[in-house]
Amino acid sequence: MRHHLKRSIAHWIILVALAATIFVGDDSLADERLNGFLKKAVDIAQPKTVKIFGASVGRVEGYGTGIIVSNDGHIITGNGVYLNGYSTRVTLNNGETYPVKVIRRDSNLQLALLKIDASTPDFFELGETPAAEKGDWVIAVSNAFKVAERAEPLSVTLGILSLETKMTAKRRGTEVIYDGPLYLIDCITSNPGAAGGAVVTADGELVGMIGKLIESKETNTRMNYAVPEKLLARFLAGKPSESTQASTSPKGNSKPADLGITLFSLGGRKSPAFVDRVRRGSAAKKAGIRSDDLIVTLAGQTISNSTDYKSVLATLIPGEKTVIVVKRRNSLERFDIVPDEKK
Amino acid sequence: MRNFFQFLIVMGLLQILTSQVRGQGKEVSDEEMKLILAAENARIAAVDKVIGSVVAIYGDVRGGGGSGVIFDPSGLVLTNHHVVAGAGVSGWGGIADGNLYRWQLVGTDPGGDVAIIRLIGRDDFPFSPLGNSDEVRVGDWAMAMGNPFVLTEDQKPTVTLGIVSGVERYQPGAGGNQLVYGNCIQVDSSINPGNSGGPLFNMQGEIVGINGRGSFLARGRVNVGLGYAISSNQLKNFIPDLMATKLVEHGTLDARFANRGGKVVCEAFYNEGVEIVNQGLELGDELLEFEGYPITSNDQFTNLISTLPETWPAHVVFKKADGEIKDVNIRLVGLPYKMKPPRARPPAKKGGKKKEPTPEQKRALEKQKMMAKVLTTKAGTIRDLKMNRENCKIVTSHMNRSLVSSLNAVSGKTIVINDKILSADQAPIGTQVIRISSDGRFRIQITEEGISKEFVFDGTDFWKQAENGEIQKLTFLRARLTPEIVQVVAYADLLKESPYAIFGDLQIDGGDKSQNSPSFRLKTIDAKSDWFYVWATIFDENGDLDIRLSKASADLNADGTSGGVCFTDWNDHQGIHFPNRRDFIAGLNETLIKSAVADRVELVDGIDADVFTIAKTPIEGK
Amino acid sequence: MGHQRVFELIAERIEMMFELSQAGKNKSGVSVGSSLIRFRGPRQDRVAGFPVFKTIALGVLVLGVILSTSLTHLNAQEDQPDIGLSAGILLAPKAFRAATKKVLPCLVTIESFGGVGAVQGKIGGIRRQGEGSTTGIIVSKDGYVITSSFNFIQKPRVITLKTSDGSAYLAKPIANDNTRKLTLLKIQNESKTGEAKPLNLNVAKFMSEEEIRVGQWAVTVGIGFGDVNPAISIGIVSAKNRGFGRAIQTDANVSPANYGGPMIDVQGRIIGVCVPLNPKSSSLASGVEWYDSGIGFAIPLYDQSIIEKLKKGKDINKAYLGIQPKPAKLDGSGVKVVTVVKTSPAEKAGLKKDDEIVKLGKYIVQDVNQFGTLVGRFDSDSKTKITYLRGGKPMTSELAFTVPPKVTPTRPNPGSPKLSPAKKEDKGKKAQPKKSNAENENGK
Repeated sequence: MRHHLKRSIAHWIILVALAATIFVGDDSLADERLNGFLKKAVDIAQPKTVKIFGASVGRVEGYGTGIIVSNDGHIITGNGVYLNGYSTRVTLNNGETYPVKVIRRDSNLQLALLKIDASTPDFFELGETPAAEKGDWVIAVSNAFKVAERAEPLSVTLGILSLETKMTAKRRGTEVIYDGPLYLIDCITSNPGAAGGAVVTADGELVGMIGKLIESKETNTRMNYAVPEKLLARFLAGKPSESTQASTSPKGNSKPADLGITLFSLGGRKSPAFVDRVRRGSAAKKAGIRSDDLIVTLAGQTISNSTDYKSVLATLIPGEKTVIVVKRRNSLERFDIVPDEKK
Repeated sequence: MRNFFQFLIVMGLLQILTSQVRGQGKEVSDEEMKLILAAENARIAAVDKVIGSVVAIYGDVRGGGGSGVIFDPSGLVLTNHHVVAGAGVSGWGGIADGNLYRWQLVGTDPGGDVAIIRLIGRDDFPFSPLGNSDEVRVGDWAMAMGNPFVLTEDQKPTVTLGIVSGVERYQPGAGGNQLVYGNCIQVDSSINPGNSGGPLFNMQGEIVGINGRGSFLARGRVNVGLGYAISSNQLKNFIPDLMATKLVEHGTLDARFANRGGKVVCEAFYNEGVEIVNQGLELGDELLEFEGYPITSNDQFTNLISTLPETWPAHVVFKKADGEIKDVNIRLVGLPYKMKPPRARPPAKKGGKKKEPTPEQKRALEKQKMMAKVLTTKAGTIRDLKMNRENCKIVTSHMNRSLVSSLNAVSGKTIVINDKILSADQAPIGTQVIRISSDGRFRIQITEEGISKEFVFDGTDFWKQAENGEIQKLTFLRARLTPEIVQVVAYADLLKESPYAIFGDLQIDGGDKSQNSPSFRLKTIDAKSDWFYVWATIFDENGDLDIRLSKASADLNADGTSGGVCFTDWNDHQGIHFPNRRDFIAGLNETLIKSAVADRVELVDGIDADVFTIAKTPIEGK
Repeated sequence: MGHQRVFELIAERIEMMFELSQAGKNKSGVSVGSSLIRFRGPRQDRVAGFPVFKTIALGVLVLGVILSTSLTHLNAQEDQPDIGLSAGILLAPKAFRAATKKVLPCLVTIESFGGVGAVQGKIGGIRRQGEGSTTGIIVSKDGYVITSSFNFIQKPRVITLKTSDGSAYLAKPIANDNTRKLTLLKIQNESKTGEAKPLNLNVAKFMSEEEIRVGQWAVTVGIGFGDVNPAISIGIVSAKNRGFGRAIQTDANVSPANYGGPMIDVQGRIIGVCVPLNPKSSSLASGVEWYDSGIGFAIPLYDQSIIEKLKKGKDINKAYLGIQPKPAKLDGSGVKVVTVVKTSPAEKAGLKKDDEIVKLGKYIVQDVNQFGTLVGRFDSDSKTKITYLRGGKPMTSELAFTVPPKVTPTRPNPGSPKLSPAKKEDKGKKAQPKKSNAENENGK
């Protein structure tokens, strides 16, 4: 009888569970207007984002945005000359204004950590787990163009996370001030005063911080991106950021590699990587590379020109097999190649 | 039987489990895709609903232009002042049906960058309703439509989608009190040169703003995610003055306020003899409320007042130093424009010889001169009386339609109303019976505080009959000053072909407030230059155009001996709409004196000629 | 009776949970069970198996659950603008991702090598034009790929492309559609003996004209940020029939990062090929300056004859008429011929000075600007009819377009200031009639 009792109780539990699903239902399917899907994100993010005002230096604007990252007044923003002065101040969502102390900066990620002497119960808890993936809605909260003054709410703009990628600061050529992973977003954040703003999901969770303006002088374009939350967390914790250069340089013993290839030089760094000569007995010769081959990829990297070739060659490890793809007449040929040590 | 239900339970559990565990296995479940498509279809439907009302506005040369939106089937279009300032007093407008129509300038407001033009050629243009911009929230969808970079080839507009980035934003003007964007809506919908004057829609298909401005980078005037739209509630305040063909100024209290220790206090006055000073405002007084909004900062106040036209009866509440709270209604004074109208340039001389201008050049010169004239018209005056009267007909036909669906519905009938008359504190003080014939004649029988009297309008003259039987023919002036007559004639005359023609020529006098809503103020002027005013509110709660009789008085501010009458509590009775409640009021703040409230309203067949004729020999009198 | 077994399994599981929780409790913990017993009523626990009463009750409940969940979804489908729709917006990113995944197999990554040196001057773009990886779309099983001509401004000597399964091929350009800024490539898969090696390609399908609707989601996909994974951008379809009737306009980002890549709808169907376009300018790179301004274009290919023409190796060029027009009336409407260029298609059709053109093909002529867009709808080898008034009398002639007498350079001259976006603005202002109303300092 005891067995039957338990069985009946089990059956009743199933019954109740099923009943619960009817009445509790699916909240996300509940009736809502087409509007209002961002209300939660806006209500959560605006109190945690601040306006920063400093000194303007030349044509560089003297204002920006910042995110509150602790309950005792720590704020992260984009590194900027305007933070240097004594008149730098932060205005909270409620209109209260405080003077600011710069704690430290990071030059790879162009971040600055500020502190105000105030209790800030509304703050972003920085974590390591990404809050959004590619395609997710992101809402950027910032004071672009200084539209909001005093206690006026910050501007809100909508986009999606376009791509998780990274930016490598080049030693020559394009002047890029940011070095590290980033989230490209498709709403325009590259406006004066936007750097330091919050990028959040539709649930108000922090995705990242609007990055400091990157403008390529050659192409006259601006990038819209956010510094990922986990990098902000590490910055706040005092951990140094890693330059992406470090990860592409050879690990361990840094003996330079050699393939035995001499490229045609047609004058200028931008000429494609045509093979002029292959040294006898070299790694390239053994692999089967011939004169007049055009190197298309090496170690998976596209080789557009001799500069690309040189920089990829520098990352190869002698003795470690890799792949080279060349164009020979009208076809692509793929070879395994084992680099020698450069003598 | 048992097995069947067990089967059901298992299936049910499985369904619940799979719907809870969304998306596992498939990227998007079928149910989710249905929701996603439903939301997309709703947006497409909203676009389809309104796209026909968007106008690509050009001058005579159709290489460049701006945008606009039709808000009335007669072809009235809202756009930016700076669009017409560039295009001229007339030009071409293209809409989604692919056709180009001529348009003419109606009125313009350089202060707030708003203008109205009129498309010619149809009386059934597609149009969109104006929404309530106070309901717009940050994060709401915002759809902009217009003609950026003049990209349209088939006159269909470009549609861009974004969200509301900020509300109650302020963008300072260009100087000379012009092009101020106060209390405006900030959006990140893509807005580029050419979008100016075009509508900003919410997802319900209502116009919540007119796009006209953006923040730009030094790299050029290309959208960077910050666009600004004039709020629809501001547009509503200006529509009547613009339809009156005026050059409209914005209003000011002529007082300056500032934030002081959490309060907003009066800091200075801009002129001598400022009206609000006469109403009791002094330096240091605290501003508490403006137009019904509690005032928390000077920025907020500046925002609000920038949306109001000159002569607007603003409601101001302020606190004096001794704690006394004053509540006043005061007509705003105009902020003058320092207008530099475009110089009409004669064609350049070629090679020293004076060349005869081509017909095209002559025409361009003419148009420039006309535009210069428009911009130098005395602000607040009617520029084109003929156009004003045409627009007035549009207004009265709307008002008429708010009474009856068609005049045929009441033809040959009499409206009989039985009212009780209440004092200001709702105590019954009398009764009233009104009869109105479908051709605008009427008889009123009133018994108030024990005294009876009757008024008759027999189609030609106004008559009064006292309790003792004494009959008096009233002059039209006296009739207008008699509130009981005003109460009925304002309604009855709308049933006629030419409303209020008995009192003179009707025109749109301008914009005003009546019963706390933006209204048209119509005016008749008779041969002796005596006036009669009728107000009509413009929009219903849904933002739909619903021009409806609201107030009538012989005095602009309903002051003086006659006061005015407000018409309210409209109800449908057998096919006609009648204001069940008529409040007799006085003054700009419409203080209640007494009310007539209908107990019964009936539509009766037939018109009894005797009812609408006064008997016995008349006595000429006051 | 599999379902019965499943049911019993579930019941046993719950039973075991109950037993386990019981094991940890003392006597008082049994009170939960007691109350259930009370609820069940007397004697029912005595019946073997699952009692009929409970079975029916459960069955009804389950039916209710099934019905209610189905009905909620039905409601969401109806055209009630305000109901249940926020969910459809919140879920949209899932569809964006799924749609991108769906279209990836028919995309290729294009690498260009060599060519004329980097063009001086500035052009919008994350990279200088033609450098770095660009995107293309496979349009036939035998290896034809469509992409944006912008990607080959430098006339590279070598073009390779990689399909989604990692296979790499050489490709060569076959023909250009200069009216749509598209280039057709062909994968070179001939073996040494000249035979075509079989290719394993996913061919892209393009949406029909009716399926494309203003207001629908538009996702642009491209790999031009130098990452292996494509970047996506969201917007809506802003207008159809732009760019001389050849392009779909969107407010999603269309930039060098995705030129040649697809613009897809929320279900992964291809709306068009992303290209730079500025209908007011004919230079190959015009339109790039709008890269994130919310004005972008994609070329729909519901007309497959375009691909077939290009496959034959024939370039498609803009139609040339050969007249100088002016407004026919003082109010700016109508089109009148001022001059007719010698040996031009207009002359051959018999047009003369002062003729008033009223119809071109099936289109009614409204004014000079619109007439320009009408001519632009035709190709250089189109034939149509032109109707005009001569002295008030209507006349119709056959009209055969040609290419313009001077072929417009498809590559901008080095050092030309035309390419700088900031300078381009000025050029644009001069090129167009006075847009003073649109260019007001404080307005738009």
